[in-house]
Amino acid sequence: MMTVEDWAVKIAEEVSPEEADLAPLWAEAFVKGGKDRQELFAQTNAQASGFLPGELMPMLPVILKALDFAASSILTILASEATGKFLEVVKNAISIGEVFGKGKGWFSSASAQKTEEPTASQVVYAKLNEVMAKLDKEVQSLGLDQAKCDRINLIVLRLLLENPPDATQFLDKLTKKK
Amino acid sequence: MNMVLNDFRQAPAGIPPWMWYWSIMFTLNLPALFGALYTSYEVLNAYISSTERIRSIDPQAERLSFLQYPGFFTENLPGIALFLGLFTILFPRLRAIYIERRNNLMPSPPIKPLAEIEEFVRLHTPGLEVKVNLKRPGRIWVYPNGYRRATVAVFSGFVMLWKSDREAAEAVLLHEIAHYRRGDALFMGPGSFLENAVKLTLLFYVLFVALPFILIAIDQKIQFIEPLKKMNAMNREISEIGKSVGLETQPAPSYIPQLVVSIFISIWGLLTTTAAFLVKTTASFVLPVACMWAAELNADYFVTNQPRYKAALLRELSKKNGKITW
Repeated sequence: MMTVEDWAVKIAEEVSPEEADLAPLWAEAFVKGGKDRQELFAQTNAQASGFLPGELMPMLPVILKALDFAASSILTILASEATGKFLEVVKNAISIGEVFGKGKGWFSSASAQKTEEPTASQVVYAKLNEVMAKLDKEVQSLGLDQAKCDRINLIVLRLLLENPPDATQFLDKLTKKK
Repeated sequence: MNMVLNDFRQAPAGIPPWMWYWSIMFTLNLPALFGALYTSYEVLNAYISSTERIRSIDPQAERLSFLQYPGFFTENLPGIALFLGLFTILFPRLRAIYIERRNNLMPSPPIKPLAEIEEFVRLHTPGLEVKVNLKRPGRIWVYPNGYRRATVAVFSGFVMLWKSDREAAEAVLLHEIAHYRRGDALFMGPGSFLENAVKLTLLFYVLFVALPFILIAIDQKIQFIEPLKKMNAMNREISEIGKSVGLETQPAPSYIPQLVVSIFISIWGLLTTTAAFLVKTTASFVLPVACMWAAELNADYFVTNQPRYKAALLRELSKKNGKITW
């Protein structure tokens, strides 16, 4: 069974490898909450930068925040019987880059066709849309372009969907309020 | 190891340590600062005795004048702030305690990139300590923890840079090491005298000059309204009497335009005072700020003196969202 720290390392290795060493520390601080969590998002002391510009904004704390925000929607997907289908759609999206850079409504082509009885794939697309929109709300604060935000969200979703039981436990621990 | 140290030892001297020169000159000039302070004190005494004379006639007049007393030292403010700020140089250990508490800095945990960073620091400057806050975003800066000792504060952004662009990270670290070697840490960085001087000056101005000015102006307007209203009523009465005996009279003027003009004059007074204060403050701070910039350029010069770091430093400097501070 993977711990929250293990998950953080796994996500960091895929999304931002230079953060992997610090990932356990950040995950622990995030789960602790309070001042420890605030510290992850603290403003850098502007006085302190001297002549050296260009802040490197860590991605993982923002991703953890996004997961916390989108947890309820992600848990619905993880609990569904069609996780395989979700994973397939996400993997396809990553590999063909079809959804990248399109802004909100990533999986719109399939979910837009409204019929009285939505098909199984329309349900999948609609749910993924909802999750992507929620993740995007936080991830966009990184100031990256939309294509990069999409890619981060999809990679994180793929990791979670590859291991639903562990991912469920991870999200439960992550969202536990302290 | 020797090769690395020699690289530094063979580096040309660079820009002189202007900050030290400025501090010496400022200290030598302290009698003039205290002289100006005494003059302000005498002017304040003259003001107090004149208001006392006015108040002996009308006890309500100038009732808030005491709020203006600190404002008499506005001219001396930047000089006093720089003088007080220079005390941070005398107590580096206290400054270190304050900085470490404020930034939650602690010894490095056993993480590989931090071990590498510490090794790099040891190799170039054995006397420099490393403390970290790996939860907080940000880079690195150096602060003193003694007259000849300093600590480099490392934040998570720098560890990420160390992993993603080692050469650039080493260039940044060498920049800080250069500050330490030149003794700049005592003057610069968070909690340094200039940072404190600017903060103290602005805070003093707001609390003891701008705020009393506004309070006194409001008080004067409140005191002003009643007599104006009475005068207006009297004017109306006179006008009525004039009309009743068949005289042609002007309608009594409203007191509101007079009030508006007096408010405008007060605002104008505050604006001009603030502008004068800003000019004076800028004039006082421009030299130490220039000295600090010289120290920054010098630290860069140390790094670019080693050709393999030149491109890396330029790469870092050219990154967007740059904040150039003291």
